[in-house]
Amino acid sequence: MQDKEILKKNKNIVSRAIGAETVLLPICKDTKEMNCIYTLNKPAARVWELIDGKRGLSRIKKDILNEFDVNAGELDKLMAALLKDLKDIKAVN
Amino acid sequence: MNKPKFNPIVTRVKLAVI
Repeated sequence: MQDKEILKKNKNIVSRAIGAETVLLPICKDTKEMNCIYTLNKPAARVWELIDGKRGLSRIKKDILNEFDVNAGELDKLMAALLKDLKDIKAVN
Repeated sequence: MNKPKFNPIVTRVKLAVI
């Protein structure tokens, strides 16, 4: 994944903050298609919040480095895993 | 101030007819 890549949220996913978690809810054509929802913990929710269709991956990583206790090497691995998860569930394009 | 640890987790909650 290129650090210059601009990440965009899928418009067919809505999110709501509930307590300490953020819920991702796929919009379905009917209830037959709705077989699961997803929850994000606070660090994952912060990345989700930073994905605004304008920031590049490098900018998001820079913000996370400033806000969280993580080194650059570890961040690269964790971000790659998180973005793979978000792409797998079609939350980001 | 201590920064929170970065440990992002996505959890799938399987269900429909929160």
